[in-house]
Amino acid sequence: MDNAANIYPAIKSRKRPGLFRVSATLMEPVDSGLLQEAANATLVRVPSFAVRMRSGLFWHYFSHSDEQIRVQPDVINPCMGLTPEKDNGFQIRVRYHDRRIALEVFHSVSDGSGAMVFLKTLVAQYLRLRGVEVPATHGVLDCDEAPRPGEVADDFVAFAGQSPPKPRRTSRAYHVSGTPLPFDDIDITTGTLSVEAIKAESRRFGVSITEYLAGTFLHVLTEIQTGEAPFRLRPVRLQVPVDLRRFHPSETLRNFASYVGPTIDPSQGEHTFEEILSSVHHYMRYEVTAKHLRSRVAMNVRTERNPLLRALPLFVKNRAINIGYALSGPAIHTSTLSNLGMVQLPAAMMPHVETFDFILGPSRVAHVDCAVVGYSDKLKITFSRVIEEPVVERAFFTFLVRQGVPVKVEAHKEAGCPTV
Amino acid sequence: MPYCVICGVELKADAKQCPLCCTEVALPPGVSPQAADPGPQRWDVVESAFDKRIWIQVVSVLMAIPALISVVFNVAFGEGLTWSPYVVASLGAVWVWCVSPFLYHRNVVPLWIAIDALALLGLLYAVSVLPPASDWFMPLAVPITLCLTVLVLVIVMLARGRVLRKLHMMAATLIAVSVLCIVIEASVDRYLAGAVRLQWSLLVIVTCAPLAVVAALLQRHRVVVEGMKFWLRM
Repeated sequence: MDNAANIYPAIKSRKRPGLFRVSATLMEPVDSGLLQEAANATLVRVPSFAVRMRSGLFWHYFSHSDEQIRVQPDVINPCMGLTPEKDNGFQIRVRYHDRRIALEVFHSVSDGSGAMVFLKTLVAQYLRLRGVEVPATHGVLDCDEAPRPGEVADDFVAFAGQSPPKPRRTSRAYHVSGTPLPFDDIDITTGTLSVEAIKAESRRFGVSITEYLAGTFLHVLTEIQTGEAPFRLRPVRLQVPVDLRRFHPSETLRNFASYVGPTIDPSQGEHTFEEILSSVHHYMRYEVTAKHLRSRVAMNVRTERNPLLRALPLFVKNRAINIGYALSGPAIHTSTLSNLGMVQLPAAMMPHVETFDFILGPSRVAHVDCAVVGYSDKLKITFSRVIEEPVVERAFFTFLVRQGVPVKVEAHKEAGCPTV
Repeated sequence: MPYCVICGVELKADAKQCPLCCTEVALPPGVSPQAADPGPQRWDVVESAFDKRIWIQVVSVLMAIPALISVVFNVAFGEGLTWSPYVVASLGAVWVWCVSPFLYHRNVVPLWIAIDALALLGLLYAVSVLPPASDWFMPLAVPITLCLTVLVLVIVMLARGRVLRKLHMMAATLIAVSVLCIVIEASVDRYLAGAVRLQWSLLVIVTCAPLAVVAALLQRHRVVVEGMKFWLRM
């Protein structure tokens, strides 16, 4: 397993399955037989996804699986925990419904960018089986080729800098509260907006789309906290993954991402939206640089290589990782905002693919997480929530509407509303 | 395309209500919502790490063994069923309290509390009718248990529905404690003396009421602080 992957088996539980999902909606209904064939071929091409997880004396590890993955009909509650019986030991799932092909991935296997390459290859292979000529470009892999060694490399070690940053004490962040949903339930709300509209709005403030969305998210979270009139205003901090492939020549399909945490501290006083955007913009420009990211990665790599930690048996290590995660994971972050960016496809595929979606799995501490992906002229912002009240989504999307950005909202089920 | 008149967002063509605010979609007369794919309806059943059936079986065995032993010992070495019915009734109530949260897939809290209250009433009734029998069940046990159940139900529903904020919840709990004390003292007075003369429960009210007011005000501490500033300026 790579450096980032080690944490997920230790912290995974029924309530925290550690999965995320990317999906593509085609123009025509999906043929499950052809999808099964396409999934088999794609797994041969991308062996880092054809794995089962095992526990050793000191570490969890992946072993190659020669089993066949079973494509499954889609469900109303995605991203729930993998089970050896239903998922044939795989750490991924392929699901279909009507025109949609969905891939759910345990985070130890890959990050969002790696999963998107797998999904694009799967969809391309499916279209090839339907007689569409799809070239292996724009991140689509050729299933007739052999896997390249770089695709299964752990690039964290190569990327890591020499000196990790000095540890800083980070205070507990604000968390949105609400009535918890049952542990096997998740509510998903998606807002679709025009890429041009959001780009124009971001440009108006001189920030990138990710910075604009992070600023908006921080703004609405700050307002929600202030509206709750708590005794003590806590910092509102986002966890924003950064794809390290932008900073290091890498073709790995395993995890290769780091995180930054733009923060607003409402106890300092009221922040206007412009102030928040400016703060996020300058923070991101300062933190999202190769040197800073190398330094962050160095800290993780150094921890993994610590001889004392390595010598600990797995069950002790699991406890230690759990404690570390409890102190530095969701507890210090209000929510996650993950932007996969614009999905690029070969021109031959585009007439057959309507849209892409990206969903983060349930988080029982943050309660609400946000995932963003763009394709063609549409940007999709998806909130996954494990509380009944859609307060964050409502504040977020209505804020965008007030800013002049039209949003189309849909929920995957009629959640929390009385029956009409 | 329908829009939400409250949120201003566009909705799906087949939407009946806004997913953000639950406002009903109002279409012009004669226009019906377009039919669309309702999405997958299958649930991914997540196996519970906690096996309810095994828990119920274990609790049943753990309660049945001492109950059986006490009955056998009581019959064998005593003069019939004298003390063992107390043990059996107590273990029966404990069994209900242990099992009731796991009777349904989703935890129906009001039902759970009601079942627990019935078990408590059953235990108290058994104690009152078992020798030496006495007449305190109706005048004492029933009103106090019912009052306790209603108060617990109200507090739990307020907490689950997030109707009240944290300190408001504390204030509501203090008020509930005061009400319960009044009911206890009134019931005891009526049973023993035939008339209600509140004494110690008034002390509880005198203690709890100011605390409840302070808690309720502190929840709105900003308003309090602003008010104090205003009066200081005067």
